[in-house]
Amino acid sequence: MWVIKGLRKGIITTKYPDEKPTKDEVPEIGVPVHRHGDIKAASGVCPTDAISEALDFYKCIFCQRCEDYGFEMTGNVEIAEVNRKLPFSGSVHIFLVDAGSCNACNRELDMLTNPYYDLHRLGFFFTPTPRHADIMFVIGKVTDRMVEPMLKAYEAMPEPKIVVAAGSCATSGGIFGNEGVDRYINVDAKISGCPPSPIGLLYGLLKTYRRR
Amino acid sequence: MIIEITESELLSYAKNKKYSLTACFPKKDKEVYVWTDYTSGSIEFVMTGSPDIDINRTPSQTLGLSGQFALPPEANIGEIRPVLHALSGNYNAYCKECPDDVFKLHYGPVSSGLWESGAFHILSYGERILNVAPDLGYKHRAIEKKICGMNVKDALLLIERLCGTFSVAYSNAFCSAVEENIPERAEAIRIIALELERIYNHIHAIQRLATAASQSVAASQFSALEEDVLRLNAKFFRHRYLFGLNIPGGVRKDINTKVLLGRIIDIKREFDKLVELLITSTIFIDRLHNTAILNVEDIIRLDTIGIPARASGVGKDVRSFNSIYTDTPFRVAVEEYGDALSRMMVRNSVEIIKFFAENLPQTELKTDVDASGFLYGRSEAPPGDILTALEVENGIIKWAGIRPPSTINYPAFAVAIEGNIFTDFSFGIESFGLSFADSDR
Amino acid sequence: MEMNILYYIIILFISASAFAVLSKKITYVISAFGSAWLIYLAISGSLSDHAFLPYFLLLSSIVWLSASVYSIGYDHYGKRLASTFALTIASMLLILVSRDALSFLIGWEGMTIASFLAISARKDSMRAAYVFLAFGELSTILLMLSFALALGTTHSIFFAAWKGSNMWNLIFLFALFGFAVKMAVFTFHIWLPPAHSTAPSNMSALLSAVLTLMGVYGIVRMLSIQVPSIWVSAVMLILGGITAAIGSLHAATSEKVKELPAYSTIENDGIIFVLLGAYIIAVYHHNSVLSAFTMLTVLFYAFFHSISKALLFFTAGMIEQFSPNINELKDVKLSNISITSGYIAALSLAAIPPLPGFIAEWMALEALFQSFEIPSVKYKILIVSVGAVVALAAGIATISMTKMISYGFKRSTGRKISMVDAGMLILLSVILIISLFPQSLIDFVSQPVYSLTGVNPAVNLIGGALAIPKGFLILSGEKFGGMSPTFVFVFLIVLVSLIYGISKRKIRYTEAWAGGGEGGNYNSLSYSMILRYTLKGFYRTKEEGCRVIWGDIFEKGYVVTAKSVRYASNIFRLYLMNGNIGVYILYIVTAMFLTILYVTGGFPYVH
Repeated sequence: MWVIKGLRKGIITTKYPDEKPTKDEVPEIGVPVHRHGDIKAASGVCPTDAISEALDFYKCIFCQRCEDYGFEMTGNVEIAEVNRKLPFSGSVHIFLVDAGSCNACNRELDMLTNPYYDLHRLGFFFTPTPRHADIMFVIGKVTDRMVEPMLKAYEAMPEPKIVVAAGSCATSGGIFGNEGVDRYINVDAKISGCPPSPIGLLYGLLKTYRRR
Repeated sequence: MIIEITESELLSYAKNKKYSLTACFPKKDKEVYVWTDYTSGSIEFVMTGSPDIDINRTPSQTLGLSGQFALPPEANIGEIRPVLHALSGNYNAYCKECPDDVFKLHYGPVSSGLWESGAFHILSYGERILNVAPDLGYKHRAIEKKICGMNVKDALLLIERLCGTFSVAYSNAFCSAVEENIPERAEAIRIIALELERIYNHIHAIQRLATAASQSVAASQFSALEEDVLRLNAKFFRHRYLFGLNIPGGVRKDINTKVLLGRIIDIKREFDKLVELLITSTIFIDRLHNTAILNVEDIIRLDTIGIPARASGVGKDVRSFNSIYTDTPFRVAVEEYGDALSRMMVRNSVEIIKFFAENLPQTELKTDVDASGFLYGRSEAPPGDILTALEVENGIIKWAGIRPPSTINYPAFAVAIEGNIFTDFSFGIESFGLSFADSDR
Repeated sequence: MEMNILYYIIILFISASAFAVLSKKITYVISAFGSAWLIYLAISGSLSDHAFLPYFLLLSSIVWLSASVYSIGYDHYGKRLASTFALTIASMLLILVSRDALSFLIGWEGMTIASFLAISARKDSMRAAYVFLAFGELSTILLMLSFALALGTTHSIFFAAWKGSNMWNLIFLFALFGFAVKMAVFTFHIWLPPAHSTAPSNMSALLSAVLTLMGVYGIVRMLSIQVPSIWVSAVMLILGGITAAIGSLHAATSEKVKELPAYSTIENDGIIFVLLGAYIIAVYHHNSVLSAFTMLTVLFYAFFHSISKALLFFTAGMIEQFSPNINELKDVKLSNISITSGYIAALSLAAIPPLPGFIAEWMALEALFQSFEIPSVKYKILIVSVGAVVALAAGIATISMTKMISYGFKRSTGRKISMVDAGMLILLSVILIISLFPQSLIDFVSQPVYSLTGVNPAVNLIGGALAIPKGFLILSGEKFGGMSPTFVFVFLIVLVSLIYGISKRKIRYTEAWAGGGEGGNYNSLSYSMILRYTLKGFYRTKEEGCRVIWGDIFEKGYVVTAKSVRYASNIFRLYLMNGNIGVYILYIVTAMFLTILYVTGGFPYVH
């Protein structure tokens, strides 16, 4: 019965990254971009002080308050930067360290393995132990009790390894603090969002290895 | 609305089976105990103090350290109401002594099975679990302390992100505390969002159960269905997890309900077919049946709320006290047996959405908010109910106490999983649907 | 005459036991010297009396030598242990040397009694020693029965004269059961675990390695006189298979340091018993290559088991001084040689290449798999089923051996080298030599196997193929299978060196990953809990609160039988033989009456 069900449902996997994501696949609001008006007037309204010369994407938490001050929601979720890549491509193992997130970033990572996005076709896999991992994925604002387990996990990973911080709490502290994960560990890649959309996570992950 | 009482009166509350101990907050040099009667919906805040408490203690619950609560020794409330240890952050009280050849496993905090950061102390001599004590507090962000001194609008941003997957429930509870009468359309939109959140959380719980039983095809189908609901959220409410929906006084933007209704009915049809297929698999049912049983005496003794309580026959649901539900087709769903299978089956939401979407009142979306004094708000998150208690002055929060559903239900899980074998641990914990971010605040 | 030397050496050992009055160390040194002399005699080929003597003598004296050297550093039990140790060796030597039934029985009984005295040298071991003695006497009685029958039918006490006796099946069966008791085969196996675990460790090694070997020697000796009918082999196969399964399952769930190797001995003896049965079947069907290979396997298996088990008991004896329970072992101090010996012995018993255990296990399974050459259908099915049970037992043996390693040897730290390590070193080097050159052993034993079966293993079962030069490949039959242990060993060494040499050798030491928190230690009770849980009926597992209780149901069976025999004899004593003169006279008169009736033909139905 499951076979018939699957055949009837057809192929629903997104064609990303070979094609741009459609509006049906990414219907959310995405990052805001300044279109008109004085940006200085908007800088007081942002709760995480993300607006100065321009909007700092890594601090934005999508509270939508700046919409009344000349910002437009673009629907773009692909914001990531990578400083150091892995020296190989394919069969990359990811180890998740939840350093104090609100559970939304965890849920988005869980959604990466569903048939719509299917992380495994791009060569990424989740591993339960840091000994087999290439990427350490950190989410959430680092709480006091999670500093030591996070550092222990980093110690336990073999070379070559990189650290990816995803979500505004990890990259910049978000609404819960002023500093992100880079206070404790060197961060090699950052992905923005609150929480980062699966397409955004894929965008960031694909940049971390040599294929792209 | 807080009544000062003596210790012996507190003890008589504790012995009265009609009341469930809902919450326990520290407030300056005293403690506030909250007692709820789930049949009538009445809630009472009582306060008592003890001469040993440090007056300069700050209103924040530092989890994992006992001693923040100096309970009066004669009262001995922790023996009668074991949930008090969890509410006061003293999880070590759940540990049990065992002889030397029993081994103690510290499961967590970074573990792939739990997918979040939290730990358990598990005692076992091999296959059978003898005792589980939760070791929580790894994700403590001190949110109650942070929102003191903020105004209500800014505090709402943090409350939404206390637990991202229950964000509508939290913001509903918070907003209903600080508001008086808001327009009916806003109220209706909030309820639709609450039920959508409930739907995607329940699909997620069933997907996790299927994954734990290695039914990968079923798990993928449920996962795709959950993604459908999240995309629905994004399309109609502008954010996949419904952040930014509520503002104190109403909702931010309007929604188009006709298309939403059509999509929801499709999803429900698909869900019913999938659940029917899943239940025909006897292997799957066999793993859930008789796993992690909680009977009615346990529920009453542990003051459990939400899904585990309803799955054992005790119908605790705060939506039944909310007047807006009186003419709707809402009924408290109850199962009898109390095992993991009952907890999977006791979930229903779509009829409520249908009612509200069809009968959406035509009013504005928001009003002004002017709140002060001691306020409280309740709402029903997917695993259980949330209580938010605030003390507000001129729109600035002076004191906050938030009681998440997972704090009460983790000790219930620890009691339920006793006597099961190790492989059933994941079925037990997924069937409860709890979250560490939630219980640690 | 060569035999004179061996009798003199027996007297040497007996006098060594007398010297214990002066000093224990002198006894052990003399017995070490005597054993070394025996090794020289066995290898030099000057002993030519009966075919299997050099091989068994070599095997036993290697164990005797290392046990004596080990005891020089180990023994702190008093002079009684030292003297009975030497006496036991003297009796065993007498058994090996004897050519007639009488000296065989003297040696057998002497061995039992001397071992009994040695086991009871420890304070709380009287009960275990007593059970050992009881079963030892049972085996002597069965042997006496068998030899008496042989004497009656052939009128001679010399083994060589028994060939062609017309009651050979019965004679062989009684002797078989006598030897089976000593080998701890099923229904007679309950004496072995308590005796071996409460005996002092040098004695345990001797008991496990050589005492049980005497049982194998006895059966092989009887088989070399004449092979019985084929139905005897069915008995051997079934009993041996059950023994192997029971021994293996109990070893895997044992929580005592010395009890685990004891149950493992039961398992290995069961496998040898099975192989002896397969030998009978092969001979019956006139398949000389298979029978030669099976006999070769029996001998090689006995060799591997004695050496590895003795080494394991030596190291277990060092560990046991900290605690007899595996669960409580912490901060055990062993020298590096002891740790290495422990690893090698346990891995050999778990049948890991390139060690001799692996070779022996491979040969055993090959011998059993070739049952397709047997024309009889029911024996084919029997051998295949028993072969499956043997494979199961060998698999579960891995659990017990890894348990021994993980909780016993892995956590040990440094300690200075002493005499006990010298004893272990002897066995360790023997194991490594045999892993590298098993052909030398096969050559050594070719002559007796040739005389028994007509096929010379050194010629037919060792060959060369593909890239392996002639003389290094062990073949398991006519075009069936082959393996070259030498090349496996060499290949492993080359592979490891290559990987080590090519690697970058950038090493970083970190802690074990335990989830970021305190972690926890999986203790040994939980390690085997899965077996106790799934096979609840076999172990009669009871879970009460925080405790688990399980046991050996056959031991309980014996206790129940013993109790009911006592009860019955009590009834008999109280009601039937109660000392009343009147009742006795009644018995006498009744008996007389019945006899008269029988003799005069009064019973109509008798005749």
